[in-house]
Amino acid sequence: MEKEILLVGLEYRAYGLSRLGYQVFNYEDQYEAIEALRHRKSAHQSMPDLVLIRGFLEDNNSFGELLGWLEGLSTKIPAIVFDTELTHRKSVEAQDLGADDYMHVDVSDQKLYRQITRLTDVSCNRGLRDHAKKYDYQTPLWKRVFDITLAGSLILLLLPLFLLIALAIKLESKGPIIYMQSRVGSGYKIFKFFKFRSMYQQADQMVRQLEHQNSYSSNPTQQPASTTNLDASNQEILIADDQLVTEESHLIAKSSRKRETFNKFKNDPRITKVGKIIRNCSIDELPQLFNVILGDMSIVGNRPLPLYEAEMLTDDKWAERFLGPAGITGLWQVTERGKSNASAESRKALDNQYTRHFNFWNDLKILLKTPIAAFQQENL
Amino acid sequence: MKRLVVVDDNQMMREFLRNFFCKDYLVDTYESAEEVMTAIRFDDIPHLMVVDYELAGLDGFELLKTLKSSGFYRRIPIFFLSGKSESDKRIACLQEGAEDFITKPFNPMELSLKIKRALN
Repeated sequence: MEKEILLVGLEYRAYGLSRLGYQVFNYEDQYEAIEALRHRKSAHQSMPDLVLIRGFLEDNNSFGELLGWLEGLSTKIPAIVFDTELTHRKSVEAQDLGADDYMHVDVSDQKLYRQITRLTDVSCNRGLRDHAKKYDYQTPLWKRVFDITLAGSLILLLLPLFLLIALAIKLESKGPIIYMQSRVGSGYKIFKFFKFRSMYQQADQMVRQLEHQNSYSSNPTQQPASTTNLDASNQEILIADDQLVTEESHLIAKSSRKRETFNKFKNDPRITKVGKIIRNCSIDELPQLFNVILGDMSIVGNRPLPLYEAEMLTDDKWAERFLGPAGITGLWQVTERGKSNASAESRKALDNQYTRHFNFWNDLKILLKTPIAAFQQENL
Repeated sequence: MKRLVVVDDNQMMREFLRNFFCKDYLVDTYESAEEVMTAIRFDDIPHLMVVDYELAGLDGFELLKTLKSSGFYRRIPIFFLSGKSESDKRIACLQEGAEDFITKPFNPMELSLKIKRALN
């Protein structure tokens, strides 16, 4: 059906609008328009689908009464206010008085058409959005109680062991006992993550040099030493005029060279002797019990990731992991750890799976399987 | 608190963004351009929008053009998120007045800082 548009003080726009297929009625000012609408209403004639009105004459609004009258109708008729100069003050006034939009009088027919379509085609259904539902991940009470009880008793129980390890670390190499790293946990919250130091100091800087040894990399033999150089040359190719490289092939090349998300190294020379022992039985992870007490993470959950790994997972497919709890041990550790051919893909999938299905019984199962997984000789 | 509107057809991404930004902003999330265009009429004008380029129905670019041609909404800074990063799309969005065009996966901290800057 042809849409009806009521123009008030905007006669010169009538031609353009009728060419766009609207049926147009013209009125001089808001009083004339109200009069006509009253008449239509009492005669039970159809109402227009939209009102366009010339808004401010000598700075005073000239549409308030018409908009007020429209508000009184049972079905809302949207209205757009036009002005020769758009100012913020008038925009606010127009909105306060109930206008649905505020546009320049000389706006192109094409832009106007967009707004008309927006205001008249879309059904006035308000219940569509995800209403103020709280998506903020909060640890369920049972989980928090479980965490504090277990972490608290474990810390008390293991205190002698902690002291022994602390002494061993101090004696073997220079540096602090506890190694702290920023990690991304639940809800992408960044916190300081505690571990017993198992490497020599300044180990983090060695990561890049070792990249080609990455045991997770799908194609280790083809990985050249430096990925940064490759990226730079890629960019040159894209810019170079004489070379025809489609963006798609560029993107594929780039993504295949992108570092795999989970870094693990075989025979890592950065690790100390004490480090090797405590890593093999995962004792180096135990200081995270203090993170649990602090509320940074849970005992069971998705592993908190270093910042550079986390930022590679914020896409449609993998962001889900951040919506669940973060933890010391998790589904991935008890399912896949120890297999040195574990793929980054399957790990990410397990993280998402845990987020979807975590509950008390699943947590308990994971927890009971953890000691076995922890002592697995893996040399990773 | 400033009002932030997120439009993404992926539910996980909506929850993720809401979860990440709900400490600093009032976050409303919508699934489609059509939905946000309707709902926006009944609420206060948002201070900023984060829009997924690939939406079902009208895409992010159509939404951008509609908002930019409106007197009420043209000043809203719009950040695009996209799973693909084809330069013609990116350039078209920036030309049409988008604040930024960010490719997924992205660093949420980076987006957060850019948003803070755009709001000041």
